[in-house]
Amino acid sequence: MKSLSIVLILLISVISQTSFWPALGIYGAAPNLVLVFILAWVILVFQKDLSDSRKFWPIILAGLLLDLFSGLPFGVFSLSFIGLTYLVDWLIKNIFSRINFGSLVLLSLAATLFYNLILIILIRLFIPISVLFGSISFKDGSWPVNPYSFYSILLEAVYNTILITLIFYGIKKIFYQKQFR
Amino acid sequence: MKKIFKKPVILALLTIIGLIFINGQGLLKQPKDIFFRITAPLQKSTYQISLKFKDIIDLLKNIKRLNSQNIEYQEENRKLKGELAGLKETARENKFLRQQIDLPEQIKGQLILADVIGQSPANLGEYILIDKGEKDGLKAGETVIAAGNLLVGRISQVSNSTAKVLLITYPGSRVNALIQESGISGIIRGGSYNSLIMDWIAQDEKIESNQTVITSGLANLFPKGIFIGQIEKVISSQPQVFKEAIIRPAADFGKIDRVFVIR
Repeated sequence: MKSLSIVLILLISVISQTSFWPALGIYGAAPNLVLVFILAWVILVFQKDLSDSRKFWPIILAGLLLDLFSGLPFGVFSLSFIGLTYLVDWLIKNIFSRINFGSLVLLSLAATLFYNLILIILIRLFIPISVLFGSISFKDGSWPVNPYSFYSILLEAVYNTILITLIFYGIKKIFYQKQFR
Repeated sequence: MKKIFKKPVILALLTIIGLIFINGQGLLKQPKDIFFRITAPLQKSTYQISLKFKDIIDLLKNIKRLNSQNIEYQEENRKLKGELAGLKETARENKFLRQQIDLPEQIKGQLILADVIGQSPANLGEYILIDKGEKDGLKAGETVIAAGNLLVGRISQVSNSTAKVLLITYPGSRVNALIQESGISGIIRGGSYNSLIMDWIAQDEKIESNQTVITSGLANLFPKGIFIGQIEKVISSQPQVFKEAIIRPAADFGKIDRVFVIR
């Protein structure tokens, strides 16, 4: 039942991220619900211990769903989320030992920036010119971003911070009152 | 050695690499088709709802300007009607002259109407998802336009019932273009959110704001004559060999809900 709930939450997040939020975005930036889910999962479920491989399946599933919906090379999102998981875990263990509002904001900002950075690097590495029939060209050394992409990513970080704060404190209040006191 | 494979990161990476390999072999095609067939109706409804919300937000934002916008649109409508009458006459003359010199009619592609059901989950503004696919005769590489002959992009991936369209606003996208008024050619690439950049324009070429930019048809990537947008601003720096122009796209990528695929 719990696994089914997680799958449904992920599916709804992915569909709303691809079909609902983009039209309401500001300057092309929309909240990244799946990233927020991953962040909440790492903080609340892993709890500084990444040794249990059975807890990784929602992260792989989240990446897989985004890879399906995206037109980018398959696997780009899945790999980004694995990298993100380890970054967030490292930050929690070494810098933000106590999760409070301030650390949550900084974690969310760092996670969004790092996730987009990995994504951009992987897109640059993965896309062969022939796949896109010449309509994309990196022959002039360009990257799949421009200076305005940075503002879009910052806006996304703000959206994600608001969402993770609401979700985290909501879940904490309902399920984890004793553990996070 | 066994211990390495028990590490979660190794297992996760092996799983993902395995899936990438399976996908590359085309073995995920059927599951993908089934998945999209199930989720497409929900995506379509969700997208339509979001566009309605966007309309309400835009209405509230522009409520003060409604009256002046209305007058502007009426004036533009009158001008366009006049131009249309002239163009119809030109088309009629063109047809007559073609018949006179026995030149066949230009073959126009078949247009297939598709609904937009989603956009890329990454905020890089690169793709839209449409609800037509292989079963409707679509193929990768086909040009996609919006109503009014406005360039949107090209199909990059096709599944049985859906297709992904790479937008021209994506920074890595390239379109051969020319300025209709002067015939000056250049390359269009994606710029900031909802804008395009035309570069490779020689410094001595004279270009002005509000000039019309269309596809040139070079390299046969896009058919000739599709409206891309209008020049908003010219950026020229003497030390540079080429200058750039910021192009305002004709298609509204934030509100696009229906497109046509040119077969």
